[in-house]
Amino acid sequence: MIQLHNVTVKFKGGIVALRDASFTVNKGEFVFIVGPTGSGKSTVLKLINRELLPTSGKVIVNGINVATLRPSQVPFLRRSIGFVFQDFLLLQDKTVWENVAFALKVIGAMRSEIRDAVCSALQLVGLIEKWDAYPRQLSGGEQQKVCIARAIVNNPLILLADEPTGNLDPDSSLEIASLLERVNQRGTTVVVATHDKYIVDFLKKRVIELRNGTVVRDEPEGVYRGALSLH
Amino acid sequence: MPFRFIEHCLSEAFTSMRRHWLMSMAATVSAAISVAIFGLLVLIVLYIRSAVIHESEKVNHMRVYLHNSVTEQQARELQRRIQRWVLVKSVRFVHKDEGLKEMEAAMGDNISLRNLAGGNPLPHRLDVVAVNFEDAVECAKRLERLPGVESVICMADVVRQLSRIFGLVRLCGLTLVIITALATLTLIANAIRLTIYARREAIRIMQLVGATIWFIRAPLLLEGLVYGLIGGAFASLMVYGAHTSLLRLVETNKILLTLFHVAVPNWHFFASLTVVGLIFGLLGSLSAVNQLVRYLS
Ligand SMILES: Nc1ncnc2c1ncn2[C@@H]1O[C@H](COP(=O)(O)OP(=O)(O)O)[C@@H](O)[C@H]1O
Ligand SMILES: [Mg+2]
Repeated sequence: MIQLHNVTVKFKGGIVALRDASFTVNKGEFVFIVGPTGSGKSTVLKLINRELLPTSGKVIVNGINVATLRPSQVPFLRRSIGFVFQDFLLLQDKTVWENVAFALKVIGAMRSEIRDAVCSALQLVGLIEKWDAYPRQLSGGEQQKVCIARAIVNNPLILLADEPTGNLDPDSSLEIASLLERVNQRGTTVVVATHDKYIVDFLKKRVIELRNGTVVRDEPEGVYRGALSLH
Repeated sequence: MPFRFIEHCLSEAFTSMRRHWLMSMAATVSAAISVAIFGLLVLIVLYIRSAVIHESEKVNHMRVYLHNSVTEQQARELQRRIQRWVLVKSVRFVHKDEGLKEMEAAMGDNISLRNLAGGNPLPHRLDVVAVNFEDAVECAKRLERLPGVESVICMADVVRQLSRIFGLVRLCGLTLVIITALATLTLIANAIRLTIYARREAIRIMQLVGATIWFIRAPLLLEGLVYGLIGGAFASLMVYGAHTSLLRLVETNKILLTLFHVAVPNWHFFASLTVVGLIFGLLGSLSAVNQLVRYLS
């Protein structure tokens, strides 16, 4: 589903965000990408989403080398990828329903289609009762749930989450983690970049650890602090 | 798909315009002003050009006004003398009474010059036609030196002066058009930039969920087009108003009236002005949107 082959990302100014990184994520997998701030976690997600192109190496998503995509084809890659952020990115002048529906409206979905899809997405995240609330009337955890609903409303093959619990208290973080697991159980491949030890240890999924842009650990059913981190 | 796309563009564009209505007004008014100045310039150029064409038919014509003391017999002698010149094609004697009738006809029925001046104030006149345009000025100079000649009006000179005014007006007008057009483009582009800034989160979301570039770009272009369209339409009305009130102003003067009548603009002219407004709107929004697209990709 997602493959990185010896990927290096260099930014202007000589910063190397990712150094010769390689790993494969299979369909239906749940993967945590962990590491301290600046280790290259967000860079990995942006590569998958084709917001960034690798300086060298290959990134393959759904069997397509993303570097070969023409700019006009990029939107169609992104329709198969949901994205969740630390700072929610909800439209404050739109209700919960409108925020989720927006993701379908702007890709030209039909109205009846939108109604059904928004309804089931909100049901999945457990916010169907608050469909006409505005984001500021919701708690942080609820806002993040709306974001997850928006990210999965188009039934994407892949869900990417960048520090999804970064702004949340521990209880809400666990709820979001469970929700991500539930999305994964429906068949969506989930990749979560985080330095939240709590949720990583809670879910016990595959962990890929980055240090200064290098993959230093990749283990199934891992925890946040691997053997290497103890030193 | 097309209907939902149009619905999306309209609702996005009009929501944005309502949000920063003051900026929208500024962009529209500016578009109206610059298109109006452009329209007026074209109108003036049309007037002057029609005047030049009107007069240049008689470009080798000269009017030789004689001294008041010159009698009809002396005048006819002068006519015969000039007739023999190689440069001259024809000479016509115009009696001062005939001249008065011409002038009265041109100025309207309501004024009687004879009553005004207590008699005919005009001298006799000779209408001279030179063989060709190039010789007309030289010919006029020689005529001026003849005894009994008071003054010579040479159409070639008039045409030359009109042409000079024509060029000057065109230059000033073009400068003004360029300045106001630049101001308009800047204002429209800024209004669109304001929309982009206000909608930056929505644009980011659209980009992430896979909206095509047209879904992001089209509402912004539409906003610019609306400014241009409304501005252009207003400009058309303004120029039309200016033209008709000018016609009313010169209604009493037949010479001026013939001048302006040649240049009566038709509805194509005013439709074109609206299109000019649309083009301004498109260019202004394109410049803002292209920046965005460069940033997005
Ligand atoms: N657009 C950019 N330009 C320059 N350097 C960047 C850019 N984005 C990220 N970086 C650098 O790349 C490194 C990795 O960043 P990132 O992937 O965001 O780390 P993380 O998400 O793990 O905190 C950091 O040193 C960061 O400063
Ligand atoms: Mg990050």
